[in-house]
Amino acid sequence: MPKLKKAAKMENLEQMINFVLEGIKNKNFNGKNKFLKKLRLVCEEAMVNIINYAYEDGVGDIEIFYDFSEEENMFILKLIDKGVAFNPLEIKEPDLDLSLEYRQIGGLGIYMIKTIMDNVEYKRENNQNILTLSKVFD
Amino acid sequence: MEAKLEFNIQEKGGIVKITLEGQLDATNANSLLEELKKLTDKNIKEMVFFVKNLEYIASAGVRTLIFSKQKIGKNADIYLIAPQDEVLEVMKMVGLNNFLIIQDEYNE
Repeated sequence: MPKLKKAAKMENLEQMINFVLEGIKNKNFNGKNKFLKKLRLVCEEAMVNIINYAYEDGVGDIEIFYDFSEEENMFILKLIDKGVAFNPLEIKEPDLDLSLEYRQIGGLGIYMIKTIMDNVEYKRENNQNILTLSKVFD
Repeated sequence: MEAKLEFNIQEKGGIVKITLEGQLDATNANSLLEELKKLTDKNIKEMVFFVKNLEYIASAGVRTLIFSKQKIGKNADIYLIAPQDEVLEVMKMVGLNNFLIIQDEYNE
């Protein structure tokens, strides 16, 4: 799997997102162009969570892996950090029926990720947060 | 680095017009929010976001819209004018499309 390791800082966000987008640009699968736009959103939301919350002193890395399995037509994105334990799947989902006045500010990003991707998996292993996102195409 | 977001904010008679161009994401949503916060004490009736040239909005940008209603224009109608498909799709994804006034054009 192609891998990139960068300091978890907002100034590196664009480079980290582009690493993933450039990597699957040349793959062939149904609905690619539409998915690439949504994948930018998925990457941003997942990486920004780590940048903002993983490292209390603000210093630490994000490791990014991705893969596209031609056999299964499946895209996988894996993000690893060594920050505080954080399971995004435990965050309460936003109530989409509430009007703007009553909306909670949190939980939107992970909700977007779950909406776009087919599968979101979280593991805590060896003091690492491992977030694996995948989507299968027709 | 070239700025990913350009914005312009004008307030007159309780109507705020905000033009957004480029990408509204986690790297720049705060700078927009800081500018909008300056309007907190005004009696805002309408907040009109002109987004024809906004190509991308992430959750940080969505939060700016929510914040606009909650902190700046509690009694204001929030307009989204001429959103591109990608932006509209995000609004639908998070269920904000029913609570914003989404139009192709803004009539003064």
